[in-house]
Amino acid sequence: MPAPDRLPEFESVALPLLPDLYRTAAAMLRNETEAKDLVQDVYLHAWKSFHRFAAGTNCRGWMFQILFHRLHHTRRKLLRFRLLSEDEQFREDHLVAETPVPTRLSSEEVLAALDELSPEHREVVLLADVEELTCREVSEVLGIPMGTVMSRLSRARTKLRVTLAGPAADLGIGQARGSQ
Amino acid sequence: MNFDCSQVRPLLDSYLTNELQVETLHAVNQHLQSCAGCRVALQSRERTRAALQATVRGLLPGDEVMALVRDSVRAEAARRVGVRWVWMAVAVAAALTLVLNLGWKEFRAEQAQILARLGLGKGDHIFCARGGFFPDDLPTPAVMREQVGAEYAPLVDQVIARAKGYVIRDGHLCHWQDREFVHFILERENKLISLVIVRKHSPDEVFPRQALLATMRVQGHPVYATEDNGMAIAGLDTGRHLAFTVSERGPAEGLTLLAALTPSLPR
Repeated sequence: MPAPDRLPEFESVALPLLPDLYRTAAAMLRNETEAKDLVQDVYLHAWKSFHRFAAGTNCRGWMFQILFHRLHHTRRKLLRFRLLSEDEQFREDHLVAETPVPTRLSSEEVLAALDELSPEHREVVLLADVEELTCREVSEVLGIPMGTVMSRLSRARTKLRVTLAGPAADLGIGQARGSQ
Repeated sequence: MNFDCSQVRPLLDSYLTNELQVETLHAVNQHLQSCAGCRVALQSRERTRAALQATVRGLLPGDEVMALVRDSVRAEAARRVGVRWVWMAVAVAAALTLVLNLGWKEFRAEQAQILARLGLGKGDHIFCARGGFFPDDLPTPAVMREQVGAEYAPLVDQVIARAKGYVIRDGHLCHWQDREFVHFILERENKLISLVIVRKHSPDEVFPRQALLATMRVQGHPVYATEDNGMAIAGLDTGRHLAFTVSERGPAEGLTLLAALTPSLPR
């Protein structure tokens, strides 16, 4: 345990990260109460381990590492995960002509598209595209190899685009775009 | 460099995040000027990324979340004031310590090569133990047996019996770099030692000869050791498994613990 007199230091480096951690938790769990509980749990763990945190190193990466560790080890069953139907999987794997993503997208549509990603794909896309961590940082946070991060990220981005383009594709928009 | 659509499309996400090298960036720019299809594809990626950021960044915690988190951390800090862990005393034989230290120092110079394999144990220690990923309350033996699974459950009682003088903070299965580790986290005087066991991917997974600790063998097994960033790593090859101790309490304790636990390790 850290000395209690380090509490102000902990609060000054860790508490400003709360919005980043909360939104990632909320996007992973899609449940406000669970996200609140998870973030509280993450901060308690972070405080108890703060004596092992090296001052001046990447506190944001460290906090995300704790968040995903707690998520994987204690809340895996809560992660929302919808399996693709065979038809959707075929379309995703064999999409040749890209259908453009509509200009206007509602938050509900984006969150619904996120829900359709597997938890493994959702976590890399949130860390890389929303939190703007580098692939190396994502690899460190999740404890997986860089190559795995890059392949999951590529697949997650493609899947998101395919899902968001869905309504347009159904109307036949953008299927015959010319290419060189 | 002239790119066609099939080369440009996979690069568009990296193009958006400014991760392309200068020459590739130039080639992609050139292609985009003349290809309407790829421009549309780029716009789709921009829209997706922008919509994702706007939506998720709009998931804001209420003021009550900040208050809840701050209050719970402060309460935890206050609860711990004045509490001291009472540690059991254990004597580590002075002569053994001296011999082990001498052997240890012989191999410090070749760390880089050595860490390629011994770093497996270190990586899991940093990811799991140093990250503080163990429960606040000490787990019971039954809980640890359940956490490590049936195959490794007998090891729990052996660790309890043989790791005298340590508080066993946790015993569990964990995953790092897509491998599964049996991990016991031990603590004494606020410093951690991990016992990490991982099944070999193939019989060829062996420790580098440069790390061989000439002064020590345990039950006929050679011991390998190195030191990195204040962590003393000791490794032992049991045939189907690699076992490690990663000690923040110096090399002698890590080696002593590994020697004590070797008879119990899975073969």
